[in-house]
Amino acid sequence: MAAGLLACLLLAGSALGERLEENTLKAAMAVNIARFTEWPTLDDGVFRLCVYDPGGELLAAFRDLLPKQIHRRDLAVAPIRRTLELGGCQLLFIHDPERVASARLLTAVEGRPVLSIGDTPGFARGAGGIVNLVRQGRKLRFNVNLARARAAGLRISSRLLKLARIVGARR
Amino acid sequence: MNLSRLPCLMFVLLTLVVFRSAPAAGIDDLSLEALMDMEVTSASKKAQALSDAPAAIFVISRDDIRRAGVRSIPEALRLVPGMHVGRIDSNKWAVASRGFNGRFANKLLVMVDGRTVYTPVFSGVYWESLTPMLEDIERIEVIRGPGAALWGANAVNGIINIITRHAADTQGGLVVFGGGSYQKTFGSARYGAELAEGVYGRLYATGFRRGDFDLPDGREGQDDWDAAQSGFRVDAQRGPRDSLTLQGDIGRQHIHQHLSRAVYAPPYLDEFIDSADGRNANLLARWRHTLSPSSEFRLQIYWDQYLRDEALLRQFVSTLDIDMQHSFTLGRRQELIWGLGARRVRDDLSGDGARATPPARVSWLYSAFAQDEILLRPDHLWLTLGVKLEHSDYTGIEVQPTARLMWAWNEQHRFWASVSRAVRTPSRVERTVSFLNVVIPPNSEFNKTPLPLGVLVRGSDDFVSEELIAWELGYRFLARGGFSLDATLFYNDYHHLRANRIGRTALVAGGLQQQLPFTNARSGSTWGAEAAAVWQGGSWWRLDLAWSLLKTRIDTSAEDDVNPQVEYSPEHQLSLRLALDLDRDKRLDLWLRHVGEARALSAISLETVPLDAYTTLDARFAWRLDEHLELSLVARDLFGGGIVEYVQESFTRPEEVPASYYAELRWDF
Repeated sequence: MAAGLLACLLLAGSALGERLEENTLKAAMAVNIARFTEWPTLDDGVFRLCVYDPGGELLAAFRDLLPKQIHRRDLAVAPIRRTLELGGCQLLFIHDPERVASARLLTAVEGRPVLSIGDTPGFARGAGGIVNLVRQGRKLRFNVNLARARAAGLRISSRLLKLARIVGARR
Repeated sequence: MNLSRLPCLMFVLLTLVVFRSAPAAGIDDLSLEALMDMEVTSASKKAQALSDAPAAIFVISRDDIRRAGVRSIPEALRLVPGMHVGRIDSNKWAVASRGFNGRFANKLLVMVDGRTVYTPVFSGVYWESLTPMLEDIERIEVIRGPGAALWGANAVNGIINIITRHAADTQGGLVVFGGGSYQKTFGSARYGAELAEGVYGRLYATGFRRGDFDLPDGREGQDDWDAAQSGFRVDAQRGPRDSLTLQGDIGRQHIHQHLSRAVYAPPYLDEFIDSADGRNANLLARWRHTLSPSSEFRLQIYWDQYLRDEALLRQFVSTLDIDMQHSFTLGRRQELIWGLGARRVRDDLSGDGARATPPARVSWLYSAFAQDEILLRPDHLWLTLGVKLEHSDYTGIEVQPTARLMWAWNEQHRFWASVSRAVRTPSRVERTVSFLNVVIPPNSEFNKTPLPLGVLVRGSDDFVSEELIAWELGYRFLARGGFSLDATLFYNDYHHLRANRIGRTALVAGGLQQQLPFTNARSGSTWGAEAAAVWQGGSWWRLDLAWSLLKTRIDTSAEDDVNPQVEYSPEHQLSLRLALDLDRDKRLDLWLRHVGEARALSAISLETVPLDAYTTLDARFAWRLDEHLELSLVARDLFGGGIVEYVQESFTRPEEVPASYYAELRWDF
């Protein structure tokens, strides 16, 4: 009986585990990275977190996450499809596996204090983004292009940088 | 199942449900270190209702293809509501959306990475020559209904765009192999690497050998076949503003088919096993350049060639296509996109079963389009206006406009409506090819004369484009708690649909010949509803429902219209899929499908053939042995053994789809 119960608990435990669905994990990490980033100025009221995700799955994960605040501002998750809608974004998450919109969106925020986060390989290097979430085996890691973050006027805390891999030009 | 384990299972389920009910709590409070320590499980959330495209769009994801246990593109298309897929024999399918199905169905635009793969010979697709490496497909995007003006020729009742993965996403190696009853053996191998900073590439090879189906009388269909394909893709990023894609494939197929050729001597039908040969090759280059944050330019050039050598007909078709488009914003409310395209098709048709005049031909297709997307109320109301002009050698200029409105009431409820005009331009066969379809014995029901009567279907110079005006309404609902619904209503009004009329009768060697030229004598309408619902009950189970209803009415204006007026697609279809993550390493998928009764045209039997309704079940069990190795067992058509799903219009006999199983091993490194 005891063995049965133990097996039962183990089974339930293995089903839960220290695991998270990919989109949920990406959304949680993006919000966390934003907490360790300083913007030169922030509008009062809301922190606008913009998401390019035509499939909508990552967008749903951001909404499900329901974080209350970032930098003492209420979080507003805004879906983005066009460069027209980029105004007021503090963070721009680009999920674009087909690479149809990244270039336009990143060119639009180039040099502006917008923290761009993407999940396609090379996002923080040649593609022009700042933070790249990358899969390493079964874990999620991130690369930061520090020079580009500085050029955008963003300050990333040293605690975050300790966990990151720095890519791009060094100063 | 051992009953003593039931309480345990209940406990596990309960734990999962309880923990699932508060998913957001906690995650947000986890530290970055804790998040980095989490294991990633594959993204399983997918709701069609999330799309904000004002069209009936359905996306088959990479995960769907894998979990459905399908080994070919048409089998994957069964997931789409409103899409009818009928298996004809071991190597032939009839695929259509919103009616008018057949092996030679002609109202779909099918593309692989922007390269058109339907043949201009009959405006349909040889699905058996479409054999990409399934594991490298990012997604299959299916739009039912006419393409927004953006899409090109033939986008009348639907568009299928097969999108392969970006080379940066296929780094490292992958080996898949397996085999079983009908799937004798199959295998794929791919290797991808970063060739230089920002330049990614991959190479792949894939192939299979499949067995045969049986005829209803118990004879073997002898229609086994094999195919192999190999290719590459390179994606290069040159600075943030330029990206370049170069890709190509070569493939070949050896197909056995049970053919029946019409002859002027008893028994007037010559049945034989044909050994057909298919070869295809293509090369595509695409350049994207960002001119400014609000403006982008894209240039695409491809070359595609296929050779299909079978009894009755040998086809060689070579296509060269160049296409550019430019998108930019105008003011703060409008996004414009326009483009130009030219396509040159060179073909060569020969063989004793069909006569093409001229046998070889070069034709040109020119197109221009413009589309304006207007934000009437930011975040709430969008209007899309578009028009496509297309010039073909056969019919001159065709104008295809569309108007679409999308209204997001709030994050949960969205509505869209559209009206579009689309045309299907004539195919090579409809204009310039004639073939002997059947010979009717003398002194029989359909031929009272003492001489055998050959029926010659003939292309006609008078044949013009088929026209469609389509009205659509859509609703998308995204509930909190994992339920979503995507529903569409449509009304299609067709004019100048194809029929055959009575032409000249002549005395030929062996008997009489009745010509049946193609004519645009018909009009008609179809209407129906389609729904896709997803219920993601927890992180470990999910239910997908696809349902469709289709009504067809066809009228003819010609008294001598000889084709039977029937519906070639079923009225009702239902698909129900349950995906279970049993634990960290084991997954179970069950897929139940019901297809309502329909009819198919069969020239051999001189009438339409009833197709019975059927219900069938597929099952897949996958077990991840370690981080890089997965074993899966798949059973297909479990109740479906021995069903005739569809019958080809001419030249072949009905065949039964057998129940089948296979095992697969997948290793990535």
